[in-house]
Amino acid sequence: MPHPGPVSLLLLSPALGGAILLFIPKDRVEWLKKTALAAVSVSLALAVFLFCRYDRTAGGYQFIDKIDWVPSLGIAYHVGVDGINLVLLLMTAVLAFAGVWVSCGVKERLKEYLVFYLFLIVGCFGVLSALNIFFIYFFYETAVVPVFPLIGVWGSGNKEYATMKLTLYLTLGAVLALVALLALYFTTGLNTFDLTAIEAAVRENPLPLSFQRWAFPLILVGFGVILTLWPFHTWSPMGYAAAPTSVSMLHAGVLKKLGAYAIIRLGIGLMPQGAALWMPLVSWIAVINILYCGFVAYAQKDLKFILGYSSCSHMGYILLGLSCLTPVALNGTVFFMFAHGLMAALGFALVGFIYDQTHTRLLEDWGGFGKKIPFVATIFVMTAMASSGVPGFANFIGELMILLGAWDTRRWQAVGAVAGLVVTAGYMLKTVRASMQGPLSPRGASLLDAKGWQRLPYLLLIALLILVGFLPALLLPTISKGTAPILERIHSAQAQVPSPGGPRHVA
Amino acid sequence: MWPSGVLSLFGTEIGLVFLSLGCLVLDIFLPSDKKKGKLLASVGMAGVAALFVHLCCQWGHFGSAFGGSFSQDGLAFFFKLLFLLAGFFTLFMAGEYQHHLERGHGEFILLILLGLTGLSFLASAADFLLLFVSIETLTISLYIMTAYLRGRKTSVEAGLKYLILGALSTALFLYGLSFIYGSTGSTSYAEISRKLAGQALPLSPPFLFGVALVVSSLGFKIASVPFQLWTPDIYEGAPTPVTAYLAMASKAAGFAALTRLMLTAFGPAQELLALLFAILAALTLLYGNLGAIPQTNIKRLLGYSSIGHAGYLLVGLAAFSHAGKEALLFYLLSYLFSTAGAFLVIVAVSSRLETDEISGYAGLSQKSPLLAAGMLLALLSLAGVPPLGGFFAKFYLLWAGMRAGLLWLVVIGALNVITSLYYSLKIVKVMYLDPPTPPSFDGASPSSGGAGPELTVNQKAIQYLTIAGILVLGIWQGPFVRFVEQVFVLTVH
Repeated sequence: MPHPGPVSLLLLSPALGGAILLFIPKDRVEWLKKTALAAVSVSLALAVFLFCRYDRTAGGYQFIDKIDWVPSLGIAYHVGVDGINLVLLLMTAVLAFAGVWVSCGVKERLKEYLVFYLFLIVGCFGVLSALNIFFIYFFYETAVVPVFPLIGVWGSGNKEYATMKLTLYLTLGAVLALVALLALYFTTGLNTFDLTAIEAAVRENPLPLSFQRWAFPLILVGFGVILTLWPFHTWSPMGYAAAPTSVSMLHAGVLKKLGAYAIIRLGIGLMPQGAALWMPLVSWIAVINILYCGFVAYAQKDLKFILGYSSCSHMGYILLGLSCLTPVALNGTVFFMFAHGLMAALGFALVGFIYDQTHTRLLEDWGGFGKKIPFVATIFVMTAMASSGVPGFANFIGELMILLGAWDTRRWQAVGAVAGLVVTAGYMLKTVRASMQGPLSPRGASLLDAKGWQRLPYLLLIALLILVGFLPALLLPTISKGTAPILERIHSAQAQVPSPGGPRHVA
Repeated sequence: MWPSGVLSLFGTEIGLVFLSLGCLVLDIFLPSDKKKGKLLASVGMAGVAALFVHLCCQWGHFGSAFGGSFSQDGLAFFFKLLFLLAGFFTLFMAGEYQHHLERGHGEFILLILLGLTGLSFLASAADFLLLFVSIETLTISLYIMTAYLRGRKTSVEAGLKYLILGALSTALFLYGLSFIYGSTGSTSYAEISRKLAGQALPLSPPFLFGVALVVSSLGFKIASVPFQLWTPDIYEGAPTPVTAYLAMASKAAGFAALTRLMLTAFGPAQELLALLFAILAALTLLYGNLGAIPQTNIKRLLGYSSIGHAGYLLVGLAAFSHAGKEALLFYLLSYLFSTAGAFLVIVAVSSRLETDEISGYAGLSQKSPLLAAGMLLALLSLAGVPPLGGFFAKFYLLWAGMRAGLLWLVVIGALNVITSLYYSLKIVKVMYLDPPTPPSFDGASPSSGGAGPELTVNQKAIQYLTIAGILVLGIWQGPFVRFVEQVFVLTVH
């Protein structure tokens, strides 16, 4: 067996950590916490290492590990990073670290919680790093199911209904995608699930248009369910409201992006012509996502529902960016995925922090918290600003790029999306005013601010948001290196299909 | 006189017969009580384990005997391994179950071993007559075992139902066989396929009629639509180890017979049968999985779920020549470990609780984390969640189905993952989310004072064995896929 590379170690570390946790007695709380933290710290260190050492001039897939797994089906354990998943792995590692840090506050059945949580993290890392379609699917489903007990046992409110709905919706999406992926396997005729081999083949000979026409929407909807593609978004606000804090963080931050990632890799990347056929429709759905979910968020009274609908609304920008099929928009989408992941997780972490003390998330019960907990309130306001797309935060760059990209090809949709920014600013400002400003609500009389090490996850996330917001060049060259081959395939696909009426583009 | 090489071809069968006889002798000479049943179960398990090891050493040592009616080859090897594993788990459950039995503690073990002998012959049967005799050996022991709890109405009712339907299935088999014999003049698989290959029009109506009847008869065994109606009642009423035996071994037996028939005697009708199996698979999938949703009794639920799994397995037969047969074997292997895991928990819980209602499992995760985890993994594996065996089994089957061009069937199979996940998660919810009610659970286990069922070391070991099986099949599939592929390379066509 070959020596495992950094990507495999990144994946193995939380898996191993989870396995070790099983053997630690459940009353050794400190050991449990330290083991889990150590596991995700190793992952974070490896993600940073990968990010620094990735050769941006060469591009392509690097740090590849490949072991034949089931040769007769063309299944191999094959992991590696390119510009797209490198950035997302970094985000996931940061959120996993912050998430475990926050999870350490769980009071009951901590051991089981951490085991399921680490398992969930393995699934997320796996989807992002796998370069074999079988394993992408394998890890995707692995990431979907541990959420069931995590929400069901440790959640709050209407948790049993919420968790069942969430799991079934996401699995339904997954099996739809599975049908398309199996059909893809036999359409290529390569007898392999290897993504790199299929990508190379598709570059030479695109898949038949008749196949792309029906397979692309299956991939889009299948993975779109987790991306809260309207009208399949209803599981999300309910699920996030019921979920414990660190699960909401990881789900809103990472799992939603897994859907977008899969659509980029397997949908647009392999079926660019199918994408071109369906994307005009998607761009309008994106506008519905942005505006409809934004207005619904405005009307919510529960803080977690506000954040839940807000994240559905933001997914509209990702959908809009995907629908453009242009370089600026696609790069902006990946950038926005990174930024939104950090921002959404931060939002849920802060609301969770306050909820743990006030035991209410109703906006009317909050108020004037800025006086009692200045640190948390400051970060909260900054998160709201980031969410509304204020310059200085990473989200602004992402949204700007998406809107710029959309302006050329999807102008009216872009106008709708800009209107969405106003809606976002509206409900975010309303939330900030009602929760942090004004007279102190009696429910917040005994609030305690985050102290010392408690502040670490919040500072880490907000610092990254600001850093990348001011220096987008930290990420953009890497991202554009990753999207280049996909854009090239989109371009040659457009060249091959003469667009009716318009002049024919030549590659 | 046979050369010794031929004798060793049916070493497993000889071993099982001697094991049964040994248990019979022990049964006569030991005083009758629960301990005897436990002791005999241990003897049986040790014997079965030894035969398992012996069989593993016999890989590649293949051939046929009794004028070609008995064939020891890759397929027979695989199914014998499977049946011995199923027998091992069933014997363990039977040992744990002894205190539910009022009398005949020893005979219960003996019947399991006799059934296992029948199963073992069935795996090698290459002649309709041997197939018939081995099926009957299995089924007659199952009739008795199903009705074993004579004081319990459901058990007797289940036994009677199984007897009547089983007799009907036997009649169908024999009637079908008479047509096959009439149109081909032989009962040997090899002879039949040779005769058919020589004919200008191999698929004569009488032959096809006979095939249809034999397939119907085996349809009872595997609980395929439209011969599935007995399943829920009998799964619920039979003693739990017998239910497990029905699920793990009897269902696999039907598929063992069908697989060999598809390879040999029914070969010329393969395409026609594949179409039939595809339609049956779709109906069976829908019936089993939808029927399982409203169930409140765990054994009855698993009965419906086993119909659903028969549907998946039928996909393997529908995609037979497109790697469907390999996927079928992998599925059976994973199904064996998952079902064994689930039934071990049911036996352990019912011995403290005296109920098989799902509501009795409330709060199990806090009372006994191992039992809850065993059930969780078994159910999720049955539903097809990675990284568990059932996931790859379903993936493999659907892959094969797609390879055979059965897109519509793959869609139905994929959507049924949702239904089966739904009813599995409902049980998970009861075990992990619900508080430990009703209080009678605590009252029923006075020794533990509400702390939950205390498990013996053996129970833990066997439960861990099933968990390991589920996980290994789900994560490290490569060697097993190679194995099932090799099985068909080394099988007489």
